[in-house]
Amino acid sequence: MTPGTLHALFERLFGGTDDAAKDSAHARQTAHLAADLDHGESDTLDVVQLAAYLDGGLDEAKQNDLHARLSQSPAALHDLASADAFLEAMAAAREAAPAGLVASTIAISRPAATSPSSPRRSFPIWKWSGVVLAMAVAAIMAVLIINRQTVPTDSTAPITAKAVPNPAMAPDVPKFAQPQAPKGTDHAPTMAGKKEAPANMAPAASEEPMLLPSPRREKPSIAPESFDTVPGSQPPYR
Amino acid sequence: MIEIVSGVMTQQDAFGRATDKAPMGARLGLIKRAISIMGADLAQDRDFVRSVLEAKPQAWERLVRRIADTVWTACRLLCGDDAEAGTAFSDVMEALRADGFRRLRPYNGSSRIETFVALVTRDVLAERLLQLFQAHSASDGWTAFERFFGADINRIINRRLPGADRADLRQDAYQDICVALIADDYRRLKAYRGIGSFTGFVLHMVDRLLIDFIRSTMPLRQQRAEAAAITTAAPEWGDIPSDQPSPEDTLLEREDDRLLSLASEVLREAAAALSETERLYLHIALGSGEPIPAREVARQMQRPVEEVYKLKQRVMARLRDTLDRHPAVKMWKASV
Repeated sequence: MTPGTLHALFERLFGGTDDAAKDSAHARQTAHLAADLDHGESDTLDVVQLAAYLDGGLDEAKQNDLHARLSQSPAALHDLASADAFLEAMAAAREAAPAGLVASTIAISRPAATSPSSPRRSFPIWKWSGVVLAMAVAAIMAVLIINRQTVPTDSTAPITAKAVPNPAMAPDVPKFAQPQAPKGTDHAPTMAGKKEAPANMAPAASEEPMLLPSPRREKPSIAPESFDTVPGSQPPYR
Repeated sequence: MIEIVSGVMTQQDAFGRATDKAPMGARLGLIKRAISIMGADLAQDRDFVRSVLEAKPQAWERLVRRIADTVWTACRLLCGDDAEAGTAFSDVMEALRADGFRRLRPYNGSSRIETFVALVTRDVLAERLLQLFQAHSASDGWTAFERFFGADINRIINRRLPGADRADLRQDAYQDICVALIADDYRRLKAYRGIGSFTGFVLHMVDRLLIDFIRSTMPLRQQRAEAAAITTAAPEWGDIPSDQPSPEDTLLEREDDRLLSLASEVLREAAAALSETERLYLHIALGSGEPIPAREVARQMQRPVEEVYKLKQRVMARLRDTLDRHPAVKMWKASV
């Protein structure tokens, strides 16, 4: 091997001699050198850049920038060559689109452009008002039901320690009406674990005499209105 | 002939390239392209697309009528038949409209609408193809794959293996590449991870497979061709030569490999010192199995031919300089 051999090789590879095309080893040598020069890097050329480059619409600076990217990425260089060949083939084989296909494409896009069928518009306003009204009624009924509820005390239930709820930690938990001690008495709330006899209730084991119905029919009396509906009255429970 | 006016190439330049620098004969498409570039009003094209983005009345309809032939031609080239092209046409139009014309938004009037839309169409159809391979029905996508990439694969093979006497070799190369792509349930194609374009990824892989084919097959081919020539000359059964290479052939092949390895070292060293444009020239020149005419390089680089000649001279000077300073060469000089 001599330096002259290598010089001759490079001259041949880059077209310095006329007989390079006839050299059967040329294809193999270029393939070998191209593979060794390939670092396998990938870059993406966007369509705008590609189109501008191929139409000659890039200025000198942008063209240099693109050359830099192409020199680093064989994949980008292949993409460019492919795009160029594709545009050439398109120009040579240009044909008119079927009229029916164009018409149907336009027809499909028309309704979407004139009356977009978004779900918001397709649901009428009067339906929304109905939904709001129904939700309001449901909320009022829920408040009424909750306010009438009392917590029964089950004297036979086993005594278990329960976590004391912290109102500050859970402000959104609905508050139920709690029994209140009569005014004037200092009745501290009982803690779990300390069993006391419930006030105003008979023991479970006690026997109470059943009142017999009166044999004389009396005029039915109207029950007094509940405390929460009579203004100024004090309800026993809040 | 070609001038750069204010940094932007004029349309007359493009026409000059198409007529003066392209090889005569099969350059009809190039000339047509150059003519259409000459007649383009890019500012008007930009306003045209802007009116679509601003949802002006009838703007989309006008755009569809303007680009219909471009999209259709692209679909016909990349799809199999009219029926498939029709489906692809609808998909492309839908893709252009999708997400508030997302694909049209980047258009800035730096190219003709037709060029831009043709390349968008190519991208949309490549994405459809990619979805086929990412799904479990990769085998269904192979036919579509060949239709899409067939022309490109053949172009790359023709470039690396030129010459009328290599027609059989090119066919073998095509088959070899296809087998490699299909192997292991399309492992190579499924290896795409979204870095770079799918088209670039596939074609780069095709080129690497082709290089492997050339490096592994061509010496054997030459030996077999020589063997076949001898067999034809002496058809008697007793004189059939062995397929094994002779000691001289083995020595020559080893010497060739050593030479190529050293040339690779010199080339890499020289390439590191080249400018990016010069390095691009090097890559383009090494992408062909025969010397590429300067006008062809000029077209790929979008530069005047005169500049390409200067590029070539600079690259050759750098290679010679690197070669002379290379340690292996210095050792040889010292030994003389």
